[in-house]
Amino acid sequence: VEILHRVVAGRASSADIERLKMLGQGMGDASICGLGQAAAWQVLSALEHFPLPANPQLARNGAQPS
Amino acid sequence: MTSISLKINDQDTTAQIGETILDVLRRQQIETPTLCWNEHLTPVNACRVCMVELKGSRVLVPSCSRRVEAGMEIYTETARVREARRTVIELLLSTIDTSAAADLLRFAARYQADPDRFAGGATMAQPVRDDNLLYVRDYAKCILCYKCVEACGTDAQFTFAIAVAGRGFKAHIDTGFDVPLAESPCVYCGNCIAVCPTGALVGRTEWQMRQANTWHEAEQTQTDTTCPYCGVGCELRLYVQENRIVKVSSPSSSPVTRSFLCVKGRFGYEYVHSKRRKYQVDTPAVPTTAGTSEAT
Repeated sequence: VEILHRVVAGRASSADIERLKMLGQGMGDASICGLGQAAAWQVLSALEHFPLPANPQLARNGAQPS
Repeated sequence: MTSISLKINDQDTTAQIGETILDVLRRQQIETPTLCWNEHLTPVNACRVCMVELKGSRVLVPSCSRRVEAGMEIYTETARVREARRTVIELLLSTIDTSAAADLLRFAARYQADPDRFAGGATMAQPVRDDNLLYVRDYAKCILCYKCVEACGTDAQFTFAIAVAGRGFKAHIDTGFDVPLAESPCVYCGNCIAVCPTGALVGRTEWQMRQANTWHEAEQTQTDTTCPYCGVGCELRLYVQENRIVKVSSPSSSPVTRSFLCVKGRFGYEYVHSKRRKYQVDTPAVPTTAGTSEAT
């Protein structure tokens, strides 16, 4: 959530995005219940379908592409 | 017992029905990290570091509780497994005080976990709970593995003094309305201390020595003996540093205790060093026919 706040505020670094992906992957693989396994999908698919350079929020705020 | 065949890391192997994947991995000496697992406690699947890849499964499976099935194909060191374990370890490193969590730090080194990856966020930092004479609770070190709750409850002690309260990041071990231990049903058996994997629960002697920087595990010797109190005859393991008992546990392999003790066995050792004893430990004396003489 803290990383997402940085993304929205346009202060996210490419390392932050890598962290988000890794965390989402880890949650999907290792969570105990379906809720945890699916909870990161929205973030992961947003990153997949709106990669950083094309993401208006991030681009507007000048984040670095990963 | 019925034998079944399965594959672990592409090697054919056999197991007994009813065994867990972890049972087989341990027998084959495939090192698998665990934090919330203990051979005498029911698996709770809380820590997520023993995860392995199972062919055909959508997600990784916890080896500590998943029972073996015929034809399983299990992989224990794939990139997916290592990455999942590393993420869990990094999240723990970023939120708790790991200073007494030797196992966790060992796993962190093995999976090259970077403590800074998730650093900078909220942590479990909180005041130490020091409200009784026998042990100290430092929940800034707690990873919520549930072992203390299980040892206090139906897996060993049946005292039910503690439970997990709260949800999400506010989840914590609670005595019930957060009353001090003395007002809780706690019987001070210390079985929660024995199972704690991160040093959040420690005996007072160890706590004081750690605070004073005089706790040196490498210098400690272990002596197995029998508890001198009641007739059950529990097996004790005394940890001795500079000729003083600094901690007492019971071997996990002991058929009598299965590693669990009562308050007397675990904490009732101070008398050994009492200056009011007739026979001092430092100068052991043995009775002879001619009276008592100093041992040489």
